[in-house]
Amino acid sequence: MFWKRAKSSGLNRRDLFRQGGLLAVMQSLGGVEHHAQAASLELTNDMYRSIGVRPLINARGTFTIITGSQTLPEVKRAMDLASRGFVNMDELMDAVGKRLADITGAEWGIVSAGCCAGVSNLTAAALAGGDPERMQRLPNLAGLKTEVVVPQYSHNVYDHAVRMLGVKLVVVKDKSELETAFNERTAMVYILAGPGDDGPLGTRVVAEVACRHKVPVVVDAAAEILTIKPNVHLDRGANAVAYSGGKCMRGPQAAGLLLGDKTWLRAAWINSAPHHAFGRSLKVQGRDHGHAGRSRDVGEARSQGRVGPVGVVAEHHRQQREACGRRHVQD
Amino acid sequence: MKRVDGVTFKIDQPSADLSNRTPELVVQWDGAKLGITGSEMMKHLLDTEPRINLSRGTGMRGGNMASSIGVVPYQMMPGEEKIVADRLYAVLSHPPKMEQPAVPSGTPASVAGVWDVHIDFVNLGVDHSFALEQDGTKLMGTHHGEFATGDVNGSVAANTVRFQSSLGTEGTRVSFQFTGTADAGKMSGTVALGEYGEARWTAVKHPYRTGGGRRG
Repeated sequence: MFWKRAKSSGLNRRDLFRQGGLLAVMQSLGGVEHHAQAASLELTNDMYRSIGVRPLINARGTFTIITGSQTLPEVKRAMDLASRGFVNMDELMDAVGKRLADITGAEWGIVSAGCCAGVSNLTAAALAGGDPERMQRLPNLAGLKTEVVVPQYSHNVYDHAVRMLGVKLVVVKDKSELETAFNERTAMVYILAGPGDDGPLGTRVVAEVACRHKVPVVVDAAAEILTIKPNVHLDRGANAVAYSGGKCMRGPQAAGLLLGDKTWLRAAWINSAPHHAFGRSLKVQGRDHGHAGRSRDVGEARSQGRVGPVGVVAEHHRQQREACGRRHVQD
Repeated sequence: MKRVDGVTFKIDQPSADLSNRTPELVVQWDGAKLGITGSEMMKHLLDTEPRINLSRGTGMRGGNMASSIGVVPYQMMPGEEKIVADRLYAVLSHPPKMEQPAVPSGTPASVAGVWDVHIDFVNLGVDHSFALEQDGTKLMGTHHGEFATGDVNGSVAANTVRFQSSLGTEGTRVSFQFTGTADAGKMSGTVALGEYGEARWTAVKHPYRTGGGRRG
């Protein structure tokens, strides 16, 4: 519509740029009412100040309210390079998945629009698998599973990422409640990484029960260092683990990683943008993949500890999980 | 290294938790001695240039003056450690003059009872209610939200009221910090909602119906 008007007024795209861009042409077409002269954005180190925003020194940590982390220099380069071309997003995610698997030792990986988005994508996958008919109905759960089991320590302000699919949380306080929490309506288990995830209702214990009921377990590890080969959560039996890309990893602030079972992550990706489904609002852009699994991330993850000591028990749980079968997409 | 008398340091190392794995420098002092509390320091460094967001600030004027601030180096860029150290030294050695909050004097207003409350959130007005008890200047009671209920704790000084509550909702608690004035069966003021901003609130004593009422 806009281009039509611009064209009919005898301007072409080059004229627009010559005249100072969109704003100028919109004014020339009478499309913009003049209110006040806005300060122009300076593309310099004072960019924020040029629009009246005071930057701050971050002596606090990786908090979303103060823009998380600063991307690493190679991330900035990768994002810039990625923004200069076009690729097919399904092909890109396939290549990224292989690469994340190589680097982390997980079976597969995808990039999401942040950790919470990864959890939402996986919840959608637990409800709809890769079935387009079910996908289009979400978050209408009529005829679908409707419940997600959550250990009490994991019921937190971030579980909105799960609840946004319209599911009911079944919060369990102890092992006996856990056993009775599962039924034919149970779609998933959500666990928040932290002090509770290695305890009596930790990922190992929960994953063992969930596995018997053929229900996937997702761990929300947003602010954690990335543990690899093995990932501690996958090693405890989780089917997927979600990380924030904009915290410890120092990737883009609105990007995250999902690592885990290939079938679950493929289903999560189908439910995510660019595909027309519930996850369309959780759009990850091509340039966010630029940072996926750079070697420096991995080096940092290693040097920051707890990558190795998982041991015999974890191996036992992994074997148990494999014996139980990984493909739990609802039939 | 320059020192300010009465200021001590410690470095908290990260626990076994894999999240937010970073040490933290904790600077401690007696707010009464240096003339500035940790919470005032935190706000001052955020308000002035070069703007610094510290990880915490403790110490309350009119409350516990034992003060501290935290510096988390996790996301600091090279060179910023010097800027932060210089600012900490400058402010602790010559603290800005802090306003003493005026405590209103006079008989505390009587606010015990049941109140019909209206809160004007951004683009939405909602009715809540308070059931308040009062013991001199001390205030306690119950805050009934639309869906949840929580305890009220606070104080009354002359005709000003100050109280807080939190309503357990889903996996979290929604916090309310009410301040306002009480006058002849009415109260009004502002309520701070943390990250969700601020809202205006008004309250009137609940009018109990006497006798009769609708029958049949």
